[in-house]
Amino acid sequence: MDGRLLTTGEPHLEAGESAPLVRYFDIRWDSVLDGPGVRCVVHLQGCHLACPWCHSPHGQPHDSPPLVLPFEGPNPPFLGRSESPAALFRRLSPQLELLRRIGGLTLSGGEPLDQVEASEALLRLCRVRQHHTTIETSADSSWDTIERLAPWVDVWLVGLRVVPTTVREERVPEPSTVRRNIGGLVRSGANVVVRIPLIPGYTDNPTSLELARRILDDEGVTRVELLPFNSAIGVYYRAMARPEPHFAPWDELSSLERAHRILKTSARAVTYATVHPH
Amino acid sequence: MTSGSRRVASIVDRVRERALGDRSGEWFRPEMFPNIAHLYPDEPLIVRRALAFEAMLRAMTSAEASRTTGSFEIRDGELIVGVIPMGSVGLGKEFPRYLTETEERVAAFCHRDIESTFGHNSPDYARVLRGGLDAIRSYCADRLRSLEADLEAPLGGDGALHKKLAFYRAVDVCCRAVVDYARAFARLASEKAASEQDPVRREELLTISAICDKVPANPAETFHEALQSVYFVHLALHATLDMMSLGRLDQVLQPFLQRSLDRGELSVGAADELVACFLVKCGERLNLTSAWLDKQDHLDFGTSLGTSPVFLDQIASANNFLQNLVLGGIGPDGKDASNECTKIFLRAHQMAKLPTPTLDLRVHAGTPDSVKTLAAETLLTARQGLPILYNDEAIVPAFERAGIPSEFARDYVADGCWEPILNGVSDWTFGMVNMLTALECALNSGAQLSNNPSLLRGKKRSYATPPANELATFDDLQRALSLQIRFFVDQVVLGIYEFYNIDGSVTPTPFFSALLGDCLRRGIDKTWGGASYNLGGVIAIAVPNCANALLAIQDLVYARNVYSLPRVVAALKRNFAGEADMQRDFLRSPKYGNNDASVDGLAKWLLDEMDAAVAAAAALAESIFLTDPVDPKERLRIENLRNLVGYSGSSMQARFGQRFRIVFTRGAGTFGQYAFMGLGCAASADGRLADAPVAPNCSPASGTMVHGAGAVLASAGSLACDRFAAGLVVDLCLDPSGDANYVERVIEEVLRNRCNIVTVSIASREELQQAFDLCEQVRANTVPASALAPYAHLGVRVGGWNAPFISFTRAQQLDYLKRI
Repeated sequence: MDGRLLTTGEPHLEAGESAPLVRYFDIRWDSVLDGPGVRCVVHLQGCHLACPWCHSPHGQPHDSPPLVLPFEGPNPPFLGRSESPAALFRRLSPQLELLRRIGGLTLSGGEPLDQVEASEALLRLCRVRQHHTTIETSADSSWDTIERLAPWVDVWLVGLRVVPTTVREERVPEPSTVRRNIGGLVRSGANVVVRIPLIPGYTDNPTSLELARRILDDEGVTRVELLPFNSAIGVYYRAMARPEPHFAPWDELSSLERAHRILKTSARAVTYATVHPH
Repeated sequence: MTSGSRRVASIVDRVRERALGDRSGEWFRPEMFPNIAHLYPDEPLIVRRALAFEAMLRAMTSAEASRTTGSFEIRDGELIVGVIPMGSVGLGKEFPRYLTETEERVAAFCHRDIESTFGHNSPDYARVLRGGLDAIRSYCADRLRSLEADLEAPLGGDGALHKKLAFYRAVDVCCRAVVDYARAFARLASEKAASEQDPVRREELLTISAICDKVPANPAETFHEALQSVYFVHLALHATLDMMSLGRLDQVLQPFLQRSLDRGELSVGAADELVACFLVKCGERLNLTSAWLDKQDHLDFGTSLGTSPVFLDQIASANNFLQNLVLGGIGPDGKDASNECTKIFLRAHQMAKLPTPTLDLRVHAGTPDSVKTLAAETLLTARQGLPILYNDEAIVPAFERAGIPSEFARDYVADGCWEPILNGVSDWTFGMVNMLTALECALNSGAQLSNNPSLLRGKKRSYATPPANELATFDDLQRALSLQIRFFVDQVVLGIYEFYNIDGSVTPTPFFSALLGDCLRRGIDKTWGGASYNLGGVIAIAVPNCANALLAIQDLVYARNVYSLPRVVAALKRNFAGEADMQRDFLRSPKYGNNDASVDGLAKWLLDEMDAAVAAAAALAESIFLTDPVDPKERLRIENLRNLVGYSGSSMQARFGQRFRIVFTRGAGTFGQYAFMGLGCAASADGRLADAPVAPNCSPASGTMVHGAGAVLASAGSLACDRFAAGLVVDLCLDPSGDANYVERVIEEVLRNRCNIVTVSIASREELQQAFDLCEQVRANTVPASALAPYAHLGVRVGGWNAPFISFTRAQQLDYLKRI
């Protein structure tokens, strides 16, 4: 079971060869923050949204933008690549073998649903080799897209970002769309974890949290992860010469406690992932 | 925390505290010993060596010397006693002089001195525990009686006989010295017991006293006696210039553990504690800061380790003690041999948490899950990068391929930095070939690149292969490189024969020889060819860098014609000045360690070439050294060749016995010297700058691991690792984001990919960066060394051993940070 052994003549691989190229801007090889266990995370390039709090603005454009980054030494930083799903799968294979039984692949981004064909091809390659799969998404898409990928996804990490109406003029996820997709997934028996980032000035207020709770109750969500806010997001904005977003001051502990209080019910587990693991 | 681990924790705290301070006062000084050469100028060299051995152990139990050295002490809470004096590979050792002035002056010609004692081996501890040193003394006495009788016979008294007499006398002197040393500690323990207020501690000291009186003179019976006996012998070797490893202690000690458990003499928890105390004793010589190392520099002219001349990074090697302790693996019968002791040593290391001794876990397809799980937990809990993983599935076949019988191949141990050797039956030495140097010479007609115009092309090192402008195809370059590799491998192989020729003339090791294979029975020191097997390792340096460079050249010069080869050579000579684009292109070229067959295949090709070159060189050397031709003309021809290598006289088999031959093994690695080994190497076509470090061991060059740890193991496994009985080592540096399950998967992938030796260091980049920043302040003298204490526990792999990160050189620290 070695990535080198994949040759043409295997049907799943041929499908992988004919699907469009996958565009991605990063691969993390041993993340513990992107799904169960230790995971290989592919960050797909491109997102149809433009959330003001986005911490990977370089993942938004269709093609990987040039970045001016401070880096040490002559080694240039990796900025992104386009290749066939089969070629990407070969690249990932040895690490996926290492993560067998203790983790797997996570598709993240950007927005993986914006490259549904390539994502499907990659997920199917993983399924054939029995690698565990996770997808991290805004779920701001047609139900068809969700349904198309569902057979190949073991865990859905769906972002839920309920913001005050003043913000909704910007390109943020449409709550009715997201809740429909979450509900559809839950009712179909999919393994769904809703992830709620606590962003000061946007999602981290009692009104937004109460609205989020109604959505979770209505759609039968039983697992929620709270994501504390990471304020160190300026570097990529500066690297793209874009203005940095600014956020109100906040207190992590009280923010988490309040969210937990509002969202927790006897039928729902609410946990939080730390930004800086010990 | 149990009371057992409290005891160990408090002993370790004291060790760490001492290690963070100025230890220069603890070193022995020459005036503390008699000069053996002056006192006994007429004694044979090997006997003087033994008398020096005895003088050292006596000085170690001198109350007066101990006022500064601390060598004759039993410290609070200790259960295993005896103090190994300060000394290490990087810092040297103090020892009574036993060479006459004439011997010293002549030995200096080949860069030898008493400190050239090679160590790098592993005694037969089972022999010590089974019979005790008194049994060896009796044997020596019997042999001396019968040999002396031969002397008086009418035609008696040839050179060989005198040598045997000297050998047995020397062994006897050494064994007596170790027994006396132990008994001095028996008396010390009993004195301390007499004035001890705490009744529990008093009992402990009385037990210790009885044990020290009994072992190592007599066979051991209890687990505690066995551990103490092993430690006394280990201490005696290390104190007397012979830095030895510890063999398969889980195999050796298991019967003693079982007996003590069955008799209710101790519980498993108490066994854990005892072994932890043993491990800490082996680790007491640590220096956790480099602030006072220059006050502890006791190394003589280029004599360290007997491979001459050797230039060491002394800071990097300051905490290298060459103590390898092997656990687990298959037994001579081919079945899994891991046992309760295997687990006890792993748990004990979790209590001790020191970077030495090096624990080596042998793994194979049948390694029990419980051992793998415990090994993974140990790596994560103790955070010292231990145990390191040895794959029996590669190393055992590699020994068999080299001609070693299966029962010995299966029983292998490790010595020195990490090199596999046979268990208590082999002598061993090695030499190294720098693949980047070979490539430089292939690119530059046998000369290293230099900007010194008076050298024309550069420093002439080897054969003038065709110049760059005549290497029209990549095949042509490979052919030239092949010749260069052969040249350097010939040097190493012939050098190894030379080593065996002179080793016995300066640094015989009678005590160790008494514990190695057949030396005692034959009456022949191991340096005189007494060992049953003589191994010679040829170890390739900078394989990853060279493979990376070859691929870049193959692609950018030959396949795509972006640069001509002469232009590349000129750029390398100028350290890429004015060729930033070229350097960037080289940096972007695929790199070994990422499961990319194009470059991994070139790494394998390099090793294939080395393999073939070693076989050819070994055949050449055997035809010259091993036997004496009958035909007189042939004899003359052979003698002429021998003279060229500084060898004269009869063949090695005539001198050392009919069975003598050198078995050559192959390896790939750098030990901890990868920063040092890059010095003097020009810029290379992997984008590396002149004098920059080479890749550590056979790991991906630092900063080039871009496809995760899984890909590193796949790449290493593609190199046909069952050919490397001298070890092919990959060092993984992992951020502790995973848990024990992740580390267990690493162990399983090592096996599935058929890697050879893999080390796993776990440290978060963040905390190492903090430690580095603090070290910078200590180096600038703005902060005292004691401020490093909170980081003292971070042990990572240097490349040849494990050491606290804070004790690394600056270059190594920077290199390590690039890797994770």
